[in-house]
Amino acid sequence: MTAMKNNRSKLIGRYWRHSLLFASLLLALYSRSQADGGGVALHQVAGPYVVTVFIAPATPRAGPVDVSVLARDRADGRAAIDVEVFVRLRREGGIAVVGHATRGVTQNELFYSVLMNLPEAGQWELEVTIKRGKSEASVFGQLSVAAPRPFLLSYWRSLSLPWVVVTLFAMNQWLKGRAASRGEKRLTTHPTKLRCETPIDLSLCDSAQEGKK
Amino acid sequence: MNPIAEMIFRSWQADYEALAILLSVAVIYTRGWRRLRRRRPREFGVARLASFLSGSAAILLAIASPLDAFAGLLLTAHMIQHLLLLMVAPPLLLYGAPYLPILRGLPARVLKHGVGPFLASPGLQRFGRKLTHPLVCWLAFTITSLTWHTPGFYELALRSPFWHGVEHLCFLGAAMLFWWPVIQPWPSRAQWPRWAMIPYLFLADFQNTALAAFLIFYDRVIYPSYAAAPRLLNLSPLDDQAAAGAVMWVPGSVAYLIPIGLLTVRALGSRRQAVRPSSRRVELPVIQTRGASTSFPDGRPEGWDLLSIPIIGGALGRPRFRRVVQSAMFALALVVIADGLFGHQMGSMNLAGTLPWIHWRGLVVISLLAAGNFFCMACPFTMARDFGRRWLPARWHWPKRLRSKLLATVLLAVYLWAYEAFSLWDSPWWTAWIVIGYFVASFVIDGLFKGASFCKYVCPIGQFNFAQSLVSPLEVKVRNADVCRACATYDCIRGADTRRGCELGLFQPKKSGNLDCTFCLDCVQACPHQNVGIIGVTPGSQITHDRYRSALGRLSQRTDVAALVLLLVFGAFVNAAGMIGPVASLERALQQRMGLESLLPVTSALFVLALIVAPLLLVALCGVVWRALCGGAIRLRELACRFALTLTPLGFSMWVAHLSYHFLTGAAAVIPVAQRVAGDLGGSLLDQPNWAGAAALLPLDWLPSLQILLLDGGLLLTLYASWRVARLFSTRAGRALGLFAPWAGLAVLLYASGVWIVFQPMEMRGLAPRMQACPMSGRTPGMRH
Repeated sequence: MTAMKNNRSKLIGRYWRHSLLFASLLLALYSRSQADGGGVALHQVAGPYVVTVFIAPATPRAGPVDVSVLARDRADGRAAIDVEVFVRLRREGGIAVVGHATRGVTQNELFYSVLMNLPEAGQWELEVTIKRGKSEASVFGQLSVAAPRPFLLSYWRSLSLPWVVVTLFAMNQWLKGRAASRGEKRLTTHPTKLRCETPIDLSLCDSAQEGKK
Repeated sequence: MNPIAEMIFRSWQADYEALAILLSVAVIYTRGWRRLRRRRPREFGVARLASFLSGSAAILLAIASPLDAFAGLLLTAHMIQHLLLLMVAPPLLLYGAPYLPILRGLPARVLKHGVGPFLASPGLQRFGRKLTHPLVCWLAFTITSLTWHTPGFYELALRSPFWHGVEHLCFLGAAMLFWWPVIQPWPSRAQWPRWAMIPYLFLADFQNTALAAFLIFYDRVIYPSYAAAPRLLNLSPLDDQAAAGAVMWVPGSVAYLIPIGLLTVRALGSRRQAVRPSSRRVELPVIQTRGASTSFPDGRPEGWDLLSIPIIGGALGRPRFRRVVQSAMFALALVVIADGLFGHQMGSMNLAGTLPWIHWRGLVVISLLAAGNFFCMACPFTMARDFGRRWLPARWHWPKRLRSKLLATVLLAVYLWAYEAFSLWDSPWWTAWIVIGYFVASFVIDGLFKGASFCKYVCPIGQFNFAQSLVSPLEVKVRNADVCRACATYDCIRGADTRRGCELGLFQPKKSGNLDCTFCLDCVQACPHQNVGIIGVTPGSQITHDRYRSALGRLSQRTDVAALVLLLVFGAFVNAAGMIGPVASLERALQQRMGLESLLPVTSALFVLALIVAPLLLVALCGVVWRALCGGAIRLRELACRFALTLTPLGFSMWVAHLSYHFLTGAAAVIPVAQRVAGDLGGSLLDQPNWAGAAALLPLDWLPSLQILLLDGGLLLTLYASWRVARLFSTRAGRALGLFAPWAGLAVLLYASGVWIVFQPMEMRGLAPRMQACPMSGRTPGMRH
């Protein structure tokens, strides 16, 4: 009965560990806007504000672009955290992308951020409007948007994963084969005793010694 | 609190990737620490665990706290972040003696077969010894620190999040090396005398002080980004730079001086021990790993048993549970039929256009991936079978000539073709008739023939589930083989009293894998010894062996199973490709070139090419390449049957990537549809339907990574299974490589096409007029199907 209980607790423990690791994997997939990454695209004074606009990536490309805005009071330099921020990007041809920047999605809580999807490369006009009550102030600038990044580059980490694993597996098989050919198979297939000398010196020895003890 | 200060302190970043890695390592370390502590409580005290977890927390503090959020604006914040990564986290991690706990925390199989050969390699051991030589460690730390503080590299890290991450990794790695000889984590052996660590630290402190002094006393802003950044604390860039230098100087020096003091005291106290490095090998405790036994002492299998989980297991084990779930599915099927026949005839506004094609398909593949063939357990069509047997004789045996998967394979091919050719997903009326046809077929076939002939030989959905569940992590199997050996009644297949035995002819002791298993759990209820469970297995482990399987025989002899698997593998890619822009454009171009009025002949021809001709040609090509590479006496048929099975994980991953995409982006679409149905019936469900407001279940940013990750997993499992099969054919590595190479090439080709499909703009023909083209990966928000 006790053995059954132990087994059950082992199984439940394993279940939780696996769940935790699975949750970790899901977390690893999650990504969100940088909110303050990239470089300064604009730094201007407008009305009662000093407005700094950050763009991530620093060299914007067609596709998702993170626009973060820091508005500070001109008088005392304190960050304005009770305003509304609107971002407008307009292409010369007439396409316009408008976004409402908020602090809800930002890493840096002093910043207002919005993820904007720029459909094409080229020169874009950037307009940021700060509203507090009925008063509003706007800053204007230019944004040079490069061609979109090839998807192979955008997802290089996910795409390279199989080849990393395959390389490690090939090394593993090669080392196993070499160990077997040197008559060291006994050591590699019975990792029941660990002996350490150096940081990665973990010789794996037979468990026969424990039987003798 | 000042609202500005409050905002600053709330600026924590959810760096989920780093959090996931830290969490995984902490779980593995804690697991290993607990195991080691049982045998060596003195070496693995609570302080070790606390130290390691504190080190992990310091890393998290550095990369997820407001320090990171303000690192681009304030050099001081950035410097504190670096100090945490260089001076705080590494010593704490190393004091936790992480080497053995992390190894012991890994699953035994990973340690033995995965990590073991690397650790036992003499070359890598030599490399490790050289890498941790104090001279190398000191140089690595100093060079890394100086290099990343030069304006060019520092600016690069400030501009690019990627390089910022690389910088942090370099700092952490170099600092781990630097602190290694100082902490000398147990059970590693010192290469220099302990007293030598005193000048080692002094020299490091010297370079740290020099760098700090440079920052403090230099009269220009060294890093231009900080000159351009907004000044949040009314601190000028130059003052900020000096403050950063002070942080580097004072706390940085303290971090060196504390160990210098401790080492000096220890050297003076026990000089004789400190003068000579230990040349004695440290004998570590013997660590027991589980042997080859697959059972616990009480006969339970090593894999976990779903039926032993409280509540879930109890519910699944009851016969009524299945009936309840089937009834619910039956009711849903009736609703789908009714709305499909009489409701709005636009697919995306009809329950028959959403529930089967978005929800049911998505949930089926997700449940197959996460658990097992639970749709067949809940299948409403088998209820029709039970009714059929009340009125029809069910006394004939299924014709011998049809006792294979060929009929089901042909039906599956017809279904896949009809799906493409007639845009079934967009036709509620056709969908309803398919469901009705299913009920009639199961009613008639199982009403006339014995056993579960419909499931085993006819049902295309069943064949899909059977084949894909080869990759599932759960299997209905015996808990203890010894109990079955002593059994004389064979109730699991014959049945007993009112309990049915397996109607698909699967004899549990000889059953292997999920092929042909409907998870009906009749065997679980029939077994008088309660020896059948839903056991956790290694996904894909049943693909590689060729043992005799109950009711199936050896799969190397089953061309029909191989044909089914190939159809499903290629079908996954064809089905997904059918909805992307380039394929639709190709079809239209061919139609215009041939002067055809309808797309049907073009679609049909492409379908035959991609789903029948291409697999046959590619398999034949693999055979030709194999013969050219290594020749041999193996029959091509046997080879094709064995290796075709190994493609299952890749095909399944494509199905999951495709169908889960529809589910994750379109699941909420059922809400306005249900509201529309309620409105049609004269009622009201919450509100008026909001057709544009249904949100995706996951952020669209997640989807490309998720889809590629699924394809990665499928490719890796396929490659591994192919390699295992090749090694079973030949023990010589070179010859096995020759066998493996063509199939690996085919797998890589399919993977590449899968990745290409994922990134193509989507264009569903049936929905083309009202749907804007957008990538299948979901990069463009607002896509709904």
